[in-house]
Amino acid sequence: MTPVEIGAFSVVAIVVMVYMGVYIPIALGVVSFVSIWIMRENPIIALNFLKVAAEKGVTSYSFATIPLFTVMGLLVSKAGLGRDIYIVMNRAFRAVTGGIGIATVGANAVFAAVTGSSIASASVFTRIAVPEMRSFNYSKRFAVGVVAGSSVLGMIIPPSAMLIIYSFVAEVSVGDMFLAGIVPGIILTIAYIAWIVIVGRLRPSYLGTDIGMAEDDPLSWFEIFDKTVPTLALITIVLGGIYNGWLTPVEAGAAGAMAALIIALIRRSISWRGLWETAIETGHITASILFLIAMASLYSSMLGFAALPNQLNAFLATYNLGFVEVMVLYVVLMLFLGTILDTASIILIVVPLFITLMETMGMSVIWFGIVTVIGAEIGLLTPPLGISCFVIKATINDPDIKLKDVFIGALPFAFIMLLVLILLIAYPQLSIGILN
Amino acid sequence: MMQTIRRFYSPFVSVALVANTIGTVVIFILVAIMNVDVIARGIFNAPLRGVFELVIFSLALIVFLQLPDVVHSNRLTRSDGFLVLMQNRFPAFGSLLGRGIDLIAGIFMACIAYAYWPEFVDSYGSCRFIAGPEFGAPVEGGLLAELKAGWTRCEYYGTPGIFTAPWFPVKFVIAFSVTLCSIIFFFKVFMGNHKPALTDDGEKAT
Repeated sequence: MTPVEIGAFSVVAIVVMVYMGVYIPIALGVVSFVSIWIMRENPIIALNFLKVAAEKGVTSYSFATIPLFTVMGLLVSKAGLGRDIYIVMNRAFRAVTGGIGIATVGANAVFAAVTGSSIASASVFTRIAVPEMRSFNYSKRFAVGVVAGSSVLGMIIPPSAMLIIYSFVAEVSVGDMFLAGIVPGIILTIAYIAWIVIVGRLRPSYLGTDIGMAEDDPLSWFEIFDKTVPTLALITIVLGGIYNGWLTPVEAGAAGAMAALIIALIRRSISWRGLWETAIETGHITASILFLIAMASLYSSMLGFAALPNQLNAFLATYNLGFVEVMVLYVVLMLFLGTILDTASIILIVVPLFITLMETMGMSVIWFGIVTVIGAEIGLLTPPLGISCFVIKATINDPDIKLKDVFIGALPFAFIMLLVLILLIAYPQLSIGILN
Repeated sequence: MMQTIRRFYSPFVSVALVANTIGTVVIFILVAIMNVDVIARGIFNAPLRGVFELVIFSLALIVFLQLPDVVHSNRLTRSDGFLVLMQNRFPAFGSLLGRGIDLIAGIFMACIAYAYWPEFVDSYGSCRFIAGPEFGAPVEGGLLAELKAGWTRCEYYGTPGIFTAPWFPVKFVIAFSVTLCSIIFFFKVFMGNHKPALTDDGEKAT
């Protein structure tokens, strides 16, 4: 077998192994190790690759963003910031048909600016927004769908774990990726809200029959202040700090984590025990992500060794594929992988293959990152492996709502994501304009 | 039989837990140091030296001290839809598949450990704690001075003149961690690894 064949075969082998249930970093590592062994007909070289890869996950300064932003995200969830924003948004949109749905999307977008994970958003808003929507006669599919759809914002609006992971594979600055994620995140939020408003006008029965609204007293100025200022302060520290160049992304993460801790302590929403559990959870998340990254770096050096990215480049050139064809191919590939792999794995597997191609086509690597993250995130909403939908199902604890309902409810939102993705591909300035 | 295996397994779990605890403490230290640095630099215009290196050190400790516990508590990233389906429909095959996967993982981690231990040994050896190098003036002042001199000889991480620290503790942690992960995986092969899974009723199935 030629190296290219081995390389191509290994990509298929990884996808199959992951589907069978092999731990993703182990699948990446084992296949890469064996591929290098076969290519060089010598296990010693493969062992040397292993040795180097083991350290790779931990010797980069910007990886410290992962534990720091994870701590911050877990603490703000504990401090109830998500619930607060939701209450304020709910008051603001109560007069609109589908107001609770719009409030859920809006609150998710703001909450996303202080957390880096869709999972956190999904579990917080399932607990708050779904029961509320159900009690006002919203249909169950719309209620869970809106939570699933808007949870995706957590990984597009910075700080986001996926943007951090991409910045590692593509070797671009984390700060640039964060800034590039802001406008696409806002566009997606507006698109979701627009869809709810339009459906509310044209086919209100989709939202539910006889949907009502809360009749409680308006919030006092103090309540609004108390519920919005902590979140706004955190956003100012983190995104403001990065945007103005006061803080590196790592420092912004540390400052954000400290600020979130202070907020949680002032509100007495966290015990020492809770703090300790938060830290353990953070460590587990960090260890699994960085070990995955370390093994992905082994995979990416194996691909380079097999010269697969260059071959793919040449292969596509012989078919005279233009920009549009390549992007269609790319998006279809990500949608397909999204049905069986989680977002981080898709990014780590696909990006090393395509990044050389994008660079030769003269496209911005940062723009490509936004496209990749959103494309891979669509998979969070599609069966059989829509992680966000699983989390909602697991959190909701209502036998009346089946996993199928969550997937069907999330489908329109997945479709809107796809439309926004096409828009972002067509107009790269939407992502990278903010950097100039 | 199972009882015996579990008895042998428990000390390794304890070690993983202790490592996990140390790693968790490091997270707090990381947050604290970074904030002191930001404040010292922003307000007093006096940045701390060596923060960059300390961040790398703490990352290495967080990741590799917690990895064994991640493996032990089944938190390593996987997509187990197919596996759970098999374990529910065809328990025998599902169990075999699960054990096979853990066996592969154990062997793979053992390969990393095999490749990595010499790294640590070399790095530690570079300090020459036991027998000082033959060149240079002999060190005066007994054991403590010898160790101090050794500490400065070690393979280091950082920028000379600004901040350097011996790198062998990190190498030790990595070697220790991958070895322990490998052992835990092998125990899982024998003990089976049934992860409670979500069924459509939202209840935990076993």
